[in-house]
Amino acid sequence: MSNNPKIMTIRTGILEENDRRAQILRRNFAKNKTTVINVVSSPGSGKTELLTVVSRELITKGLHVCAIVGDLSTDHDAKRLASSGAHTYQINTHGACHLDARMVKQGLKTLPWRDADILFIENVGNLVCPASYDLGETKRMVLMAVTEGEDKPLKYPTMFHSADICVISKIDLASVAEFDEQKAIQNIYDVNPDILIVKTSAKKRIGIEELVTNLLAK
Amino acid sequence: MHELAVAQSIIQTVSSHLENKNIRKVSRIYVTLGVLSGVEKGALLESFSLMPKQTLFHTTKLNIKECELVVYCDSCKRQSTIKNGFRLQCASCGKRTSRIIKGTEMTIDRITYE
Ligand SMILES: Nc1nc2c(ncn2[C@@H]2O[C@H](COP(=O)(O)OP(=O)(O)OP(=O)(O)O)[C@@H](O)[C@H]2O)c(=O)[nH]1
Ligand SMILES: [Mg+2]
Ligand SMILES: [Zn+2]
Repeated sequence: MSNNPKIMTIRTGILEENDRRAQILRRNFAKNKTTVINVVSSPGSGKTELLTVVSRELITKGLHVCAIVGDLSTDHDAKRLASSGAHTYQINTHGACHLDARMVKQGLKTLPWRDADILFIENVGNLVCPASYDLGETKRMVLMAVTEGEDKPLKYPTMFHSADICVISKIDLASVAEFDEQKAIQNIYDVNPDILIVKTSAKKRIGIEELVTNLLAK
Repeated sequence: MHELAVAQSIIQTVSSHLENKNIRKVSRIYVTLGVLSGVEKGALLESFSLMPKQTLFHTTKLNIKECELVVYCDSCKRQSTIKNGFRLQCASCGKRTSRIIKGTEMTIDRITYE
């Protein structure tokens, strides 16, 4: 009955479908000269707060800013971010723990992104799942708040390894949290020697100008 | 838990390679996961077995090969396997290196079918 199984070689990425979609997005973003930043962190590290302050800064400089905000179920973050003057679009992932390229493409339909110099994508607060999903971004920015401890990079190496910029956020709370900055920076470079580190406080407006410069750098 | 999404992608990707082929059932799918892929072997096996699957994949077994993290040091001109964690350091000179030889894979290698 049971014939010998036949073998077929496939050799492809498991997420080939998402990667293909992301590449198309990346080409379109590049053609349109829109810088796209995929922003990731654990829940509550300060993504929305920082993006609101940074967007306001960019808009003051005369740039056009759009933002796609991923959230499990609410639209609070999109509303907060819109207060900066950025055009925002909320994606409710209905429980999915990450955004994928298909959702981003969907979100772009209702945003005037072709006018945008910069498009932020606030991913779902999660340091594991979003790591594997390319969204066609120009740069990936991971946040790590001083209140989260110094060893986040070692616990979530895939995410920190995949990022281009690491923001150490809520730096205004560093002394209360007894944050060991040297140790944190060591850990970040240990899992990603090429990453760029910027310290910020959205509340006290520290490091915002430096971050803006690096976001816009080619 | 994105292992469920990954399990779905495995089926989807394999399906797309089977179009217009005369296949009764897929017996095994062989995948490779680097330790730095961010996908956990046990969780993926469980997600795969729990996931509802169409007939072709009803009895399909998932074989996962795990792949160590190996980096290359430009100064020493040698490779080292990273044991105990994910610090990307050369085992001989201790210098950091971002040249990863393997360990980030997330691939479907082959299937067996009837
Ligand atoms: N002290 C201080 N608090 C901050 C700073 N940035 C954000 N917060 C506070 O941290 C909390 C979470 O900030 P959010 O911006 O909502 O964080 P998030 O990463 O967008 O959260 P999720 O979208 O739920 O993952 C809020 O209470 C903010 O007011 C900062 O620079 N300093
Ligand atoms: Mg938020
Ligand atoms: Zn070396």
